[in-house]
Amino acid sequence: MLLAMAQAETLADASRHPLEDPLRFHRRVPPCAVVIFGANGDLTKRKLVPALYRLAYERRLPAAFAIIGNSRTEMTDEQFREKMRESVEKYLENSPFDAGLWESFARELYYVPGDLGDPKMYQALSAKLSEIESAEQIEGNALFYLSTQPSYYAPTIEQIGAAGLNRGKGWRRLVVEKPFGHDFRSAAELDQSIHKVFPESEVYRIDHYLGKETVQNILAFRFGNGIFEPLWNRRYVNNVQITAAESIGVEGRGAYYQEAGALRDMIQNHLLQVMATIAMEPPATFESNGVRDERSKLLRAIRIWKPEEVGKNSVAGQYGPARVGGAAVPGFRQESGVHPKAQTDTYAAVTFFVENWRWAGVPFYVRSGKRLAKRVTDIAIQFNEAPHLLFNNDGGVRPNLLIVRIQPEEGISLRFLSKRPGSGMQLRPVSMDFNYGSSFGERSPSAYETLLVDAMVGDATLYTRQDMVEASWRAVQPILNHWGQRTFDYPNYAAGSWGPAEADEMLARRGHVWRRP
Amino acid sequence: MTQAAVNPEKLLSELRELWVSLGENETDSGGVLRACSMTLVVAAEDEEDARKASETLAELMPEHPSRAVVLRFDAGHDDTLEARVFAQCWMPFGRRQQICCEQIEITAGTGQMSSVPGLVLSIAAPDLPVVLWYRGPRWMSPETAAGLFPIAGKVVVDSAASPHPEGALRILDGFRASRIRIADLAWTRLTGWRETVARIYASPEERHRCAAVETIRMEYRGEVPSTGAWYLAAWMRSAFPNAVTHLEASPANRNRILISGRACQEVSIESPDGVSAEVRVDGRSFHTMFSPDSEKQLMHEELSVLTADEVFEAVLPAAAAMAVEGRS
Repeated sequence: MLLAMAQAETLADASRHPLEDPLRFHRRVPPCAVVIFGANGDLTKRKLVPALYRLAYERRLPAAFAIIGNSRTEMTDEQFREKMRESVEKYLENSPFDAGLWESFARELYYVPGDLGDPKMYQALSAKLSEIESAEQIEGNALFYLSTQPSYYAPTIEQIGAAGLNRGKGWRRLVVEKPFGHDFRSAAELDQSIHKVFPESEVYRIDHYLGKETVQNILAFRFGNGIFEPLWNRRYVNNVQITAAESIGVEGRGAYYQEAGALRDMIQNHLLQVMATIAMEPPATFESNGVRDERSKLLRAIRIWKPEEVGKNSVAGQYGPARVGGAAVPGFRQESGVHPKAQTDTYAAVTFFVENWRWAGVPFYVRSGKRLAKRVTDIAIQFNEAPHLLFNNDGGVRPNLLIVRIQPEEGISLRFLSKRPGSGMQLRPVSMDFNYGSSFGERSPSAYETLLVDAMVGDATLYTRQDMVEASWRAVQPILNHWGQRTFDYPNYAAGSWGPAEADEMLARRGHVWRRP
Repeated sequence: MTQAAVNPEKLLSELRELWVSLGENETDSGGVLRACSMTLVVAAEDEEDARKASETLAELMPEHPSRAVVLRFDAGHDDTLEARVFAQCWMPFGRRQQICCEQIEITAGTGQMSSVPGLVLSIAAPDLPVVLWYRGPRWMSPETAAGLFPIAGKVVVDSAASPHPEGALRILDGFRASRIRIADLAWTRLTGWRETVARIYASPEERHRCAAVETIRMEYRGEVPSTGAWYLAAWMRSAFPNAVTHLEASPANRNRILISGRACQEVSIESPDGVSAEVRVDGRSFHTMFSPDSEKQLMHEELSVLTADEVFEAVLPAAAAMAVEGRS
């Protein structure tokens, strides 16, 4: 049947090209190659390649696509493919493994062995990219992913530049995993190394917390609804508590964690980014730099503690041995690979203030720790009490509380007072819950799926920018300095508890108490 | 049970009692969480179809928690009008709290059909969208459209099995013209095909080359093109405005698209099973996955699109016109 071309009503009249259907199609990832340095490491095996495979399963990857892995281990393309297959089968979450799709996906996997300090490896990589370029038509686009030890970041970036891999027919982007330095100075040095080779616009610093659905949902909650934003300020909010608690210990990462600690590992990056998301001003548009500008402004507005103020506004802790759930749990200093007199903070709590009109005078209490009573990450916004209590609420004063739960059960709860059934006017607190998982039972993409697509598409909204990294280091540096000069009498909290008593005292000084999530 | 027995107030009261009893039973295990994002009205053909619909609803509920209303036509009993309420509950993996959605089943004889729209309206969940899913071919009758369609913000039908694709497209386009937000699962089934084509022509250079495509050959299973084939042909024509489209029955009984032109790449997309496709672009081949062609998956996609679907609304009249053109 031959169909004539004359057609009175054509779809070409529509303003959008007919091949675009944003209601049903996913965002388009352009043809590109993803180059993973550290391809034999845990992050690649557990997160990156399973996330890329899942994207292929969801038809999110372009036809012209390739992954090139690099590590020191000698391997052929075939051996690398086999290794990655094992990883995908093992670590793929909430998804079936499709052998037919894997076959097609694996054809685009390549491997270049070699040392990160060896210029010859980069020449081989360049040759491989050129070969793929002509075979796969990836249009010269390449995403370099640093999945290596942080100490290799600067030398690797330098070698990428020396080999000319930072320039090509298409775009060349760099993805850097946290930590972005171990203090303000080293972060600035890393940025200098990066900017010698890549412009800031092509640098994607991953903070996987920002890729979590519920952290993104904070933006939807705040700026998609009209009813909360009028309350979102110092007139109505009494204090904000951000908690990231883990019930487990360092789980074999003792040697790494000993050098990092809770303040560096969690608060400086993840939790300050979460705080920036919960407290930033509304951006004019949901566009990458619009959102990041507001996050950055918020981080830069955090009051920097003077040395004499640090002691009253921060608490360091380290867990000691205890019995939890009938089992003996070692203290941090008894963990494998940890120095018996380690001064590492496995718990950190800090009071921050944001010096702007919206938040002046509202404390933001941020805490994170290992071996706490339960695993939970949430943000609690405590509102001011009613100005005049009309009723006899038998449970004492219970201010309204809005809780944004990030994990394990993502959702939002609002606590308010309600009349108890029966005669008389007795009130009691009740909770109204929105559960993300039950309201949207569909599978959420992993943070790495979201962030990898964003980097390939060129959307840096959920990535941290240099000025944000610097601002957050600036906020915690005085605390690190102060703690570095002290010798703590550790351990100061028992495994399975909610942290050291000093943390309670820190809040009590302002008439507040920590929530028990 | 007579019409008077189905009192909407009573049904709502029974729903409230249901929640109270669920809550009482579950106090020791973390309670019951109630979730609702819309009223989903499912018009089933008969008892067997209603059973199948309930199974699909159970699968859909975790992703689209709804107050589900299942309408069952009872052709054998003219005056029948019955209703009952119950809950669909499930325990998400690793959680202590059951999640439940409410379901109302209405059985109506032919003589009671006119009472159904009012009854559904009065039991719809307040302030939430109403979606009507019309299973079977009854949606093609004007009486049906006049009765149930106006209560819904979106109406989902499936024209795939229609023996008269041209007539089905004409009726659907009539609904569109009368501002009923209509969706057709025959169109939903094409998302994998369309997305695959769109990805091949995604870059600005390839998009530019769409104009150089000269021939599109679409092979379909069966003897006559289905509504889906017409939709895809209309959509392809809009994307490749200078191409001549050939729509023909496949001698190998397979669905296939071939795109060619002197100044553009040769493309072949073939799906042997409707679940995945083999794609060839200038000799290079790759495998891609389509979403499973299950009722649950198709409805999941449609329930995720509650705003105006501009692409479909533009394709529908074009497909209807092409079907007439093709027949003549």
